[in-house]
Order: sequence, then C-alpha cells, then structure tokens
Amino acid sequence: MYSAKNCPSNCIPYQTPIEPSSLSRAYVPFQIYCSIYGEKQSLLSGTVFPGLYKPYVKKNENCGNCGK
Amino acid sequence: MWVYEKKLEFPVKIKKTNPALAKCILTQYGGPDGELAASLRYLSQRFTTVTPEAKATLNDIGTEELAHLEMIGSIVMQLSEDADMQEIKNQGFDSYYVDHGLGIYPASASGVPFTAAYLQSKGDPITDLYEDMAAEQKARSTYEYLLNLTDDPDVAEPLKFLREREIVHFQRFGEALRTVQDYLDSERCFVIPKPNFMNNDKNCGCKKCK
Repeated sequence: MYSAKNCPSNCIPYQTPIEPSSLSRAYVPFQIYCSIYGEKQSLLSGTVFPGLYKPYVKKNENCGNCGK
Repeated sequence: MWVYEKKLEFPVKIKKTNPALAKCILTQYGGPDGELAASLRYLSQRFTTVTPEAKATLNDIGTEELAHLEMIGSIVMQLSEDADMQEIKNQGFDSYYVDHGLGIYPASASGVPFTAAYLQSKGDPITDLYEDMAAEQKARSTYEYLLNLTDDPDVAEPLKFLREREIVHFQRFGEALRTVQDYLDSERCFVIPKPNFMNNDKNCGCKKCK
C-alpha cells in the first residue's frame, strides 16, 4: 500500500504508485483522500476535495485566448 | 431508472437581463461541447464498458450532466426572459428569436441545432474513456471562454461551479481508465475441474496395479 507524502496519517491510502509500464498510454494518478471541505465551502468550490479545487483566474481582461 | 430532485445542483438567480450572453451560454446546452452531448455520450457508453467502477462512473457523471443541462437552461432563461424588443434586436438575439422566441432550444451559440454527431460511442472502453476525458477538457475551455465574456457574478458563480465539475469529472474518468486498463491487462485464469476418470490413479491398468 502506498501512503502519500505530505499527507496526514488519517488519509486513505488507495493506490500503488504508477509504474511507467507501457508506452502510448495516458495515466491519471488515483486520488488520495486526505481532508474534505465543509458543506458550504464544497458548494462554493464545486468540489468537496481541496486537492481537486483548481479555480480559473482571468489573466487579461482584453485577451481572447486567456486560457493559455 | 432515475429519481428527480426538484432543485438545481447549484442555485441560479440572475437579476440582469443579457440576451447576447444568453445566446453564448446556450452553446453549453446544445452545442458541440455542451452538457446534453456529454450526458448522452456517457449514458450511451456505459452499456458496453467493462469493470463495475467504469460503469458507475459513466452512469453517475452522465446523470450529473443532466443536472448541469438544467442549470444552463435556467441561466439562459433568466438572462433572456425579461428582454424587450429593443434589447433582442440590439444584442443579436433576433436571429434566435425568430426561430425559437424565448424558448430554450438545444443549439450551439451560432444557432446550429444539436446533433448526435457531437458524440461517439465506439464500443471500445479505452477509446470511449479517452474521448470522455477530452470532452471534459473541451467543456472546461468553453466555460473559461464564457467566464471571459461576463462580469456579472450572478452568471459567473454558477459557471465557475460547472467548470470545476469538469475538472473533477476528468479525474474520475482518469481513475476509471486505470481500472479498465488494469482489467484488460490482467491474465484471466480459466479453471476446469479434473474429470473423475482421471482421478483413478490407484489402478492405472498396468501389470503392477493389477
């Protein structure tokens, strides 16, 4: 079992680390469940998981390709 | 089978009419990377995927996309319902108005009606999941472009919520992909019980045994 670094001891170890086993494949690491937001913060954030909260920041009001 | 909850996943209460923005946001209702396409894609693919985890992921996310469709419909309706003729004409909503009035019709921002050609159900679980992850990214980009087009917090807050859901869904599809890859890679062992006549080793028929 894999226990995450920088993670309090009460988090749920879920996965073994991904080994670079095969070419031409995409991998997303399994989420490791550490802490969660409260109800109100979850609704405002759009997720209960702090690790998955990645808010959008508008970089330039006048640019049409600000996603980059 | 579904159970309907008579409330939105995230509240939508818009005070300021903006038909031009309504027409743009409509693309997430029936456009190429919209919620209807997402929902139909996942709910169709779930029939032929493998592993219980992938089935549940497709079913749950496909269902949630329907809740998002409902939110987008509410946003478009609230942005356009109080528009007067002048606003409809000046803000470029007239081309939509002549075909659909103030009704909510599944079409893209440029008015192209919804089509199932926006989605694929390929029958290959790996191929389908890659498409799903790409779809989540395309929807996220669309939400970011929409956020660039508005400063109204009443509109931006639900859009930010929906954008964040795309990120969470990407993670879930990534996890489903891993379970499917592991399952398809695993060696399957077929065990056939040894027939009874082969167990009769005390008397094999040779001279010694006799």
